[in-house]
Amino acid sequence: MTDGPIPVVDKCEEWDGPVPEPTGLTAEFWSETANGRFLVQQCPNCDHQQFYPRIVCTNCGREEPDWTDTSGDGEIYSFTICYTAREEAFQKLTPYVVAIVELEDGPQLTALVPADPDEITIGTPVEMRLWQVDDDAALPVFYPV
Amino acid sequence: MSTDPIIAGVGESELGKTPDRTWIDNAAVASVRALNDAGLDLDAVDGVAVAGANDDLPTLLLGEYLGIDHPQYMDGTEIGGSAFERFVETAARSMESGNVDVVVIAYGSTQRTAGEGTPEIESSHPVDQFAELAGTFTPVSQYALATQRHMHEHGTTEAQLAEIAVSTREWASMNPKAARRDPLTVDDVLSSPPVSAPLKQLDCCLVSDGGGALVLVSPEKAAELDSTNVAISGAASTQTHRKDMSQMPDLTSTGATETGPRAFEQAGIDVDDVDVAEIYDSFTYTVLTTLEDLGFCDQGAGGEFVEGGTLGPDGSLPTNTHGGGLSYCHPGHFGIFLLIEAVRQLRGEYDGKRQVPDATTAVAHGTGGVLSSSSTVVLERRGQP
Repeated sequence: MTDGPIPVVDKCEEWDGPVPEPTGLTAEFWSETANGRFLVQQCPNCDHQQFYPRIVCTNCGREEPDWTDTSGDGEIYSFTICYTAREEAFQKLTPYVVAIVELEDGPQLTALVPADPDEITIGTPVEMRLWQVDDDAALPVFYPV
Repeated sequence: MSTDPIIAGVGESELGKTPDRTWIDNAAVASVRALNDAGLDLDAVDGVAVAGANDDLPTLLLGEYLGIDHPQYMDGTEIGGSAFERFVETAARSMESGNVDVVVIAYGSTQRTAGEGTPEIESSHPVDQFAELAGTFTPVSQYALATQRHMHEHGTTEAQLAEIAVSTREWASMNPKAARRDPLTVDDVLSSPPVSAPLKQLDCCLVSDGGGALVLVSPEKAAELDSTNVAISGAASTQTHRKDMSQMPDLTSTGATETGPRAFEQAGIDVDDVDVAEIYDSFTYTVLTTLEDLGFCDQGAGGEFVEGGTLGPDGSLPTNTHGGGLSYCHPGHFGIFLLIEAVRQLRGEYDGKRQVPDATTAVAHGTGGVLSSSSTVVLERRGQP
């Protein structure tokens, strides 16, 4: 469980990339990111954890699994350095790092790592920041510890 | 077995750039050429399959466009570039029911002319709200994540991946239809511009327009035709995830670990029996992991396996003998072109080094999505070419 909220960094002015468009149950997930919480689902029936949010548990089929907090701490499972991007907002960031991060208390997710590529290798410990990109949502990004 | 379906005809449309053609034009031209190759007319067709089409009801359009009335088999299931290998499997099953005799499996694209288009967040799908917000719009970044992990776990090197591009180019140099035919070295690949590290420009496939088609016939129909000696003796398909590698069950192995053994068992063969391999090559890494997953070498040993020209014209496993998606063409869903080339090799259609000597058993393996779907087809020549 988390020791406290994950830092939320205001990026509303400078972020011109895509913003989350919540669908159904992801509305709850995204609204909590703005409060410094990164939630994954944990099934009350079988304890299975999953991310991204889904309406059913992929292990036992129970509907509407519960949410649980994560600390946002994890390590790089794999990464790539993107030298080109189709979207202008990302093209401006090239070369930028995208990683699959393995959360220490949860599943894996793909996220931006706004760090020097030379600082990143597989196994690098990282911690989450939440970049607030509009009124209702903050993007998970990871920095090397 | 004498009960196996036969690939009786294959064909391509013009490849490269076809600015005056639509996707369905390319699919239709390829279909008619494949029927001609089989010695069949359009009115013999009683099954249609198409994927990767820029239409919401693609089999309806293909049937109407070609004037095929009342087919009994239709399949438009979209699983990406492996769809055509899977169609071979499902059409073969339909033929076993005795209702279907002649199936056209077609593909057409104008992706090069159309450009890559404007990316959009697909808000209808929750996973897109995450992976694409991270800036991984293109498949190359997803493949790069898998490649990097493979390098970490197994010591695979960028130079080993480059060997795949080099061997593939050697085959392309003998194919007049191939887009890239100039000689290529490992250093050329390593010094090409990075796209999504560790993958570089020459690790990536082409972007082409074009279409391809094949005609699958029942053994009964095959008995009425000439040149019908390439049989489907095994086929299997599966899928693992959609478009975000964090959802892939094992980042360093694909569904080919299941489809390979299933297809080989049906065919009653071992990997050592394979004379020619047509392996989906959206990226060099796609080939490397698929060779491991199909059992041509141990898991993690793909880098060593491809060294020294194993896949090239002088190698022990001739692979992507038309030049592959890396050097021949890649109109988006490449799987149809793997089957077409496998058939031509088994028929012994080529001269000189381009022809794999005494090729009697081939494997065509399609990959779709971002290493997400896998489909293996085993083809065998019956009788002499």
